[in-house]
Amino acid sequence: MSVGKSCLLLQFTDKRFQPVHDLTIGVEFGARMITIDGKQIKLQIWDTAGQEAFRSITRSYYRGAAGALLVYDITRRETFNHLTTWLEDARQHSNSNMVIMLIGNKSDLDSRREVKKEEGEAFAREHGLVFMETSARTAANVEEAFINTAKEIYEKIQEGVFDINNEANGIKIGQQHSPTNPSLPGQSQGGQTGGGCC
Amino acid sequence: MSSSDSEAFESADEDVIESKTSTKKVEALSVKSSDDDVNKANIKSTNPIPRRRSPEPLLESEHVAETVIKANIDNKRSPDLELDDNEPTDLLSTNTSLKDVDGSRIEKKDSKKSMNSSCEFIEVESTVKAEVSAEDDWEFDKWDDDINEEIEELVAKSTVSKDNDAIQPKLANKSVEDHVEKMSDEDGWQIDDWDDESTTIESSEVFSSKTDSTTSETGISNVLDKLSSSKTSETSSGWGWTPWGGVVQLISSATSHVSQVIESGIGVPDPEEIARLQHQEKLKNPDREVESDTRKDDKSMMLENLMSGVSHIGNRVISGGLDTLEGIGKKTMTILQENDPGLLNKRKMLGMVDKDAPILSQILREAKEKTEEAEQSLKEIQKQRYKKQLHFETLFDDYHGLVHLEALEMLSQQSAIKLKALMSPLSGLALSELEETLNEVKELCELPEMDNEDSDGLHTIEELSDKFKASVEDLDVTVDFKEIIQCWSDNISWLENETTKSAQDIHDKALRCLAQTSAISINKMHKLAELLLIKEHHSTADEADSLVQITTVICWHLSGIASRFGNSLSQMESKEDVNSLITSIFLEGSNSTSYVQNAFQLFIPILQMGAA
Repeated sequence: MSVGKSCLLLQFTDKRFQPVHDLTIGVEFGARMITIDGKQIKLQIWDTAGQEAFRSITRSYYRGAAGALLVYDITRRETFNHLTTWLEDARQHSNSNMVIMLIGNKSDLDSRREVKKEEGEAFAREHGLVFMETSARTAANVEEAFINTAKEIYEKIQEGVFDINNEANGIKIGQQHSPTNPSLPGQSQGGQTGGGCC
Repeated sequence: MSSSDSEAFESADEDVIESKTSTKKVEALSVKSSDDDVNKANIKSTNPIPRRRSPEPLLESEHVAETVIKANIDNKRSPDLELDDNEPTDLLSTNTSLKDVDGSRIEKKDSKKSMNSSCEFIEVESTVKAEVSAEDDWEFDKWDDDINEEIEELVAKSTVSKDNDAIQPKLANKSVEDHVEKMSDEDGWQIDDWDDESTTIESSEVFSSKTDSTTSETGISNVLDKLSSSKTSETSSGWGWTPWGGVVQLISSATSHVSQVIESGIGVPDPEEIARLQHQEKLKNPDREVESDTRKDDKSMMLENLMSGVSHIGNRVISGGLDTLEGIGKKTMTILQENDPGLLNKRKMLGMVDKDAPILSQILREAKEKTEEAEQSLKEIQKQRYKKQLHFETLFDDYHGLVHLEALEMLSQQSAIKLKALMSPLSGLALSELEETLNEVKELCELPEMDNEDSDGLHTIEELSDKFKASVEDLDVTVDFKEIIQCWSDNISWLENETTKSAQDIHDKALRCLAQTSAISINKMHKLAELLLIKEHHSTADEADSLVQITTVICWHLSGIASRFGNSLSQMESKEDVNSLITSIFLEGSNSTSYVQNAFQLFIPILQMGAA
């Protein structure tokens, strides 16, 4: 039973919901093109396994991520309680400038809610995160969750926090190799880890 | 031989040292030049002036001659210098001891008389310069006929053989050493002891150096070393003037003399000749200043002999040097004209041929046209190539091939870092054991040579499925290749059933199939790496064997895809552009194969982690 990271990704990339999902092994990938500030940006999303067994492997993947979505399940308090360790793990093994968004998923199951929205907001405030409640089933806030994270990464690039020439930041300048828009100048690619907890 | 003899010889000694040093410097030019210097040096040795004044650098032989003449005149003018054969009383003890030494020396000399003339010369060298700095007054009178004879003989000998030259440096060196010994003696000097020693040593050295002339080279450098060291010791001894300073200066004069020899070869009057003429002029009216002493005339005669000897040798040096230069010039021209008679090509190269200009512009025009043509075709090829390459890479990325490869790279790097951390605290046996284990794993990961002829792409889905199954048989990790098999199935059916396909369609389908298959392969390999990394227990040999098999099957399959599509294209009716499309397919086939092979290489640290 997971918090729904792969479902969120599927909803974001394919705009569909798949109630039964294979258990993620290691990491899976999803990608989508979005437009921010008139610029085409390809989001490459790394959907990491939430299982404890893969924890050592998923740590390897934090490095080089520009942003992360830290996901818990509002219907299960223990997933909220685990946030601290996941956050520490992510912060320890990633770029210190990594944008982290806190996601309370399964907002459609409000009747089974165990974690209040205010608790999530308080946690986000305390740790300097952006907070949002989503539903992969209804697609509520799914677009916003990913696009807001991308926007924040983009702002950091504009501010010069991220060195776009350093690929270790998870950002690559596009090589204009897409045949559909060959004249686009500043196409960038933001690597994101859809981090989560079980 | 009287003590005055020894004095004269001492002076000669000093100059011999100098001349030897010059030998080294000018040996490339002519060995004879050193002999020349000996003569010059001998002339200089008759000059008393340096004893009285601070030594003047004798940079030119002309100078030497002038000072020699001056010295003569000085002697004639100042009767206080005209001491008789009796030693000055203040130097009595010294000279007495010298006399004793001379006694022994004479004996030694006698015993050596049978030896060749160079020994005679050496004998001269062996006499010491000891009192050079001690005696304020130099008794020019002490030149007697004896000495004159000896020096004349010496001059004659000095022109003889190279053999002598070889011996001399060593001996000169020896006497310098002795001098140095003496000079560092604060009390002054015990000439008797020292002179005795030096003579004995030298007489024995005569023999050794005769047999081994090669040591003379080192001897010369030793002389120089000693000279510099003696100079420092001399300052501490408190003597106002150092004969060794004079020697050093003479060395420089010797080198400049050599250059003068060359100069005179190109028309500059021979300095020696000038000196000789001047000297002769002076001799024509010597009575104006000197009339009594007949020995003065003897000296003059001696000097004249020396002068003529010097000029004679000088001429020989010049002619020898010019011959050498001529030889070099001839040789150079011969080499230059080799393969280029009349130096036509070289002249052309230097822009010396008039007709070159119009030809050059024509050549440039032609070259420009050619380049433009080539550029045009190259651009088209590049454009085409770029389009295709772009296509494959985009497709590969679309199937998440690149990102899986990136993730696999991360795992590989992480494992490599962990291995390093594992090895860092180890040393000795434990370290070598671990290293051995890691090397064994690496050896297990040797990919077999690809046999592309085998993969014609006619294999069925079942064949492919069986091969994959066999490859993972010993692996206790569940991994399936059903996407690859599915992809192959789709493409086979398309090839077999699609009837209205163009050459471009086949080409595009081929690239798609290759990109998808290789992307899925990388994906599977990445998954396998993750599963292997979280495994508790490992049988590395099986894992490595399985991975080699998987990689081999994938590469074989990819080659098969390229072959199958390529064959399909070559069977097309319309032949337009088919060849370049076929080439493109095979190019991407090998491209995708190398992606997979690179991915396999990333496995090595991962497998090593399991074994460590």
